[in-house]
Amino acid sequence: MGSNVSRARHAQSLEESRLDFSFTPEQQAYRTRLRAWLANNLPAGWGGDYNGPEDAIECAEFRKAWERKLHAAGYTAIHWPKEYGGQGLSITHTLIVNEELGRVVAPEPFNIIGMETAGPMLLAIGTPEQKARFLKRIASIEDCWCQGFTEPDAGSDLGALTTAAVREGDTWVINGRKIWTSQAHAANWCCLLARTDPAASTYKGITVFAVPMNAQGISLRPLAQLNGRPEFNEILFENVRIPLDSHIGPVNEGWRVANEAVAKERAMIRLYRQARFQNEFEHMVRVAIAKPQGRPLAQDSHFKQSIAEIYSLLRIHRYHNLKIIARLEAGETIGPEASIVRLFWSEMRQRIGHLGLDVLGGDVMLDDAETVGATRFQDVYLMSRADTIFAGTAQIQRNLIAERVLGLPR
Amino acid sequence: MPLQYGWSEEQLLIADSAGKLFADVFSSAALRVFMRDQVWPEQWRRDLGESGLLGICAPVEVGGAAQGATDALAILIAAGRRAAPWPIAESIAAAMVLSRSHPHIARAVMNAETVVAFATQSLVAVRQGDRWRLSGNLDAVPWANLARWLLLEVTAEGEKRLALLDLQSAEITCETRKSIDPCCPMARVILNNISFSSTDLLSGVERVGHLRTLFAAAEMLGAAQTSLNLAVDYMKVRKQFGQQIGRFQALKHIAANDALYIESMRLAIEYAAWAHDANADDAEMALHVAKQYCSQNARSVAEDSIQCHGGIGFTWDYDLHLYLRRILRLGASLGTAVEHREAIATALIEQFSRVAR
Repeated sequence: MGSNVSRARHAQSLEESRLDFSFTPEQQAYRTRLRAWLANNLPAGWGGDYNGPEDAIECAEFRKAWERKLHAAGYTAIHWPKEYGGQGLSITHTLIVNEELGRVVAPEPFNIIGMETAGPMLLAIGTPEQKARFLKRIASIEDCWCQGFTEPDAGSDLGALTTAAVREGDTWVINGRKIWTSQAHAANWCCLLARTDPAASTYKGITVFAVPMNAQGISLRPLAQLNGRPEFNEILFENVRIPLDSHIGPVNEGWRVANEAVAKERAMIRLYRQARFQNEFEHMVRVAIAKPQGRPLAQDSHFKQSIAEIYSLLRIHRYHNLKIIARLEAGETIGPEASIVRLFWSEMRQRIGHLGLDVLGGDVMLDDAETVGATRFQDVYLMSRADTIFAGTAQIQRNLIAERVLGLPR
Repeated sequence: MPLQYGWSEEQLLIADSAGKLFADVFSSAALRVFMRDQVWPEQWRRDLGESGLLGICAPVEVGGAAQGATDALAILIAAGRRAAPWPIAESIAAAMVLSRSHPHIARAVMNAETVVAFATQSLVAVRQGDRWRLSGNLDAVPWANLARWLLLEVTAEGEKRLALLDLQSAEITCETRKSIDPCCPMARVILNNISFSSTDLLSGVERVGHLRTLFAAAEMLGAAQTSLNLAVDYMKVRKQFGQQIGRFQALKHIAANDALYIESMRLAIEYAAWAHDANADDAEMALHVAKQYCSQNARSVAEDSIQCHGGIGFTWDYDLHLYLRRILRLGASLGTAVEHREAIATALIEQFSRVAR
């Protein structure tokens, strides 16, 4: 938390350490090239009210096609080593790509779990065979991954998971149920957490597995999200047999090892969101200014105070991101303070959601393209309710900050 | 240049010495004595003067360190951490702005031999030959009754300038007012047709205003940091219902919010300081962002800290209210949160109206 001691550590890790929020000319040129490429290559009709196909499977294919196009142009797996299908560039380049994709609200990546969870985990602790087998296919979107963590009785209390993997001869046999699994309907691999030692409590005795989604015994039930789209799922594992070498990292130590391996990525997760949120906010402000009917919001002092506050939060969110990238570039690891950034943006997004409702005004009653928000503001608001829930609720983040950053007793 | 988040050896040294010096001279006991007597001990002048900290932004010609806003931040944060009863920000700013026109005063300010107060209002100066005249009431001037000099923003023939006035002039009266911040005395300064020469009319209004606004934000961060530290320490030892109260989630979540505010305030200030020093395009907006965010959230941290303490936090004898009061004063100085947000909104609406047209 910026104490003198941690500052002293920063200082030692760099030859001439200082505060600098700027980019090198090479990085700026990279950004300019990408910006030009995006101007010419976004999907046809993109940028207006078109958000891709309505149907979940068609939409998944649409998003994958976009990501493959990005890959072909050299804009995926930016900081992964070249030998594993990456671009071999810096983490700062990853930030730049994320910012530029977010700025034009490019289609949301589909292979988020592959890129941000499974890939980094394999890079850090996968066997050479696993690296060779999986990484290039993730980078090129030939494989898409989903994440089998949450269960009906293991949400915030993930250590209570009961999905079991039992060793039988030369296979693991998996039985259990996973829930709220995004992307499962169009993924071909699952990064699964399963209990391998039934006697061990909570996080001990858990192992990470790579499970092919076409294995016998896996069945899928789509679940409609609060916004109506069937984009998450329930996965049932019934006597699913996978080869013995399917675990990522050591057996029974998987949770700890995997967590350490992805610590860096966790801090970087969804960097593109800052620029995306900025775009949502600017769209709302533009509409508020141009809104023809009613008292112009732009002259309303409450509205002005509100947009100034949200704008400030958006800027500060970016500063947080720049600091994280700078620290990672200096070889530091990001610890529990990652929860601060996560909490910061999730609650900020909900304020953007509320701003959208304010701008919609009476149009909140409707959810179609004829409203001033053209369904986008409605969707931002509804989706923002998930931001303080998924991957650790706001309350869990607060516990982590209080206990691990401030050192309050458990 | 590439992204970097770090500090030079020299910056760390400054932070360290400022922290140690202020913790030493502005101890709780010393603050209480100052609150009672409203006089500065000679020892403070010596220690502050010898530290060299007040010359951090002043040019080398007057013996300053010629550093930027980024380098000064740690000093202001340290001052806020002790609710410093000395105009640290004002001295750093005055030593910088007076260095060319009044180098002897700049040196005296750096050596803590003299003190310059800054007025919060502005007046119109009327020309009379090669001299200028000023009249008016300045309702709330921090440090005025302890300071020797006053820097006041004036409009002189349509231009914004700073006027340097001698508070010992016969045409100036200081009336003590009760300050919300007992570690910062406040006065009404009455200017009764005071005359001053053109050589006391200085440029650099914008730069000084920018720096002082940033410094106020940094000082608020320091005061908020002390408030949170006191609350966290207290929650680790205070027991109720048979356990440390820090184990209760209701209190943990308050402290977690405050840790988020502190880290975010720090970044808002550091970015604004960097933008100022690097002359970045968004320096002005970054300053509004920092000041409004800190004014609002430093106050929240101080309030939360009082809440986490329970009854003891509501006493005069416990120091918490000194930090809250310091934050209230600085939050209302150099543009309130509402005013900085108004400036941000106006700029945004102007920007997006232009795009629409």
